[in-house]
Amino acid sequence: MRLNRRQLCLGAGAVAVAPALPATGAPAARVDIHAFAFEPAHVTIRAGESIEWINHDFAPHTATGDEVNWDTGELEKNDSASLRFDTPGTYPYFCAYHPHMRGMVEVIS
Amino acid sequence: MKTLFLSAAIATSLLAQTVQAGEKMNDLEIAHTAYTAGQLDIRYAHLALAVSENTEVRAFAETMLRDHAAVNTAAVNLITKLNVTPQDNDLSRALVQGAADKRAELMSLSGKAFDCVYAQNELGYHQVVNKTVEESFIPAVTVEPLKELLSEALVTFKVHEGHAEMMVKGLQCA
Repeated sequence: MRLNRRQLCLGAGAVAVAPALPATGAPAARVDIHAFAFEPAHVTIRAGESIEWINHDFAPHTATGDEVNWDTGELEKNDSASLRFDTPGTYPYFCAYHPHMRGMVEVIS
Repeated sequence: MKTLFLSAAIATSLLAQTVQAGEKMNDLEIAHTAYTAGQLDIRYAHLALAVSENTEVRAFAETMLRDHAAVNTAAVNLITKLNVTPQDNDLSRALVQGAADKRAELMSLSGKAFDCVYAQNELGYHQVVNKTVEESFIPAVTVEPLKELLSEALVTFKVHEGHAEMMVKGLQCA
């Protein structure tokens, strides 16, 4: 059985609440994954708002918190995932498959 | 170091053949060759995952499996949409034979010796394939969707080349 990143994060959530949770509805910001980069690399939202990541590459990607306590799960080409951030702070992240890909979510109150 | 020189020599020789062959190839032969190159790298990756115990080498191999499978799935989807059949050709066959020889060499190795030969081969292989795709295949292709696919795939392959270069440096094989 293959666990994806989201399942791993949910497993971790048993002992700590993940700072980002799956979201529905219109996102406040969108991050395009293109040519092995997050665009824009730095996104600022308000607490309670969500971000949508969309992968445009052939290669699958993830957006995964540096502490591996939140992520989008695997995104194949044209897949998207939205996560809601409720707590102000800065959340650096990377692609779990291509760690040189880095981004930052800034959540303000 | 001897192995690195040997790999470079093989890569240079293969590149010369590749570019020469690429100038004469049609779209269906180019599609077949590009797909074959991806499949061969997937086979190298399976071998690495079966043999290597090095964390970085295994992570690289897993990336090759994921990314090349994704690119080749897109290639199959395009071929299906266009309702065409890629054509086997001399270059595809040369790549297959060369990979079989390299796999035989790799299967005789273990530990760091395996990791170094695998990593150096991945670097050389991606250098050759990338140069060929960029300088020969993409300019030669006449079907726009195939040109777009190769161009987008090249972005992925160039990232692999950079990753392979870092892997070779990290292993300190000289």
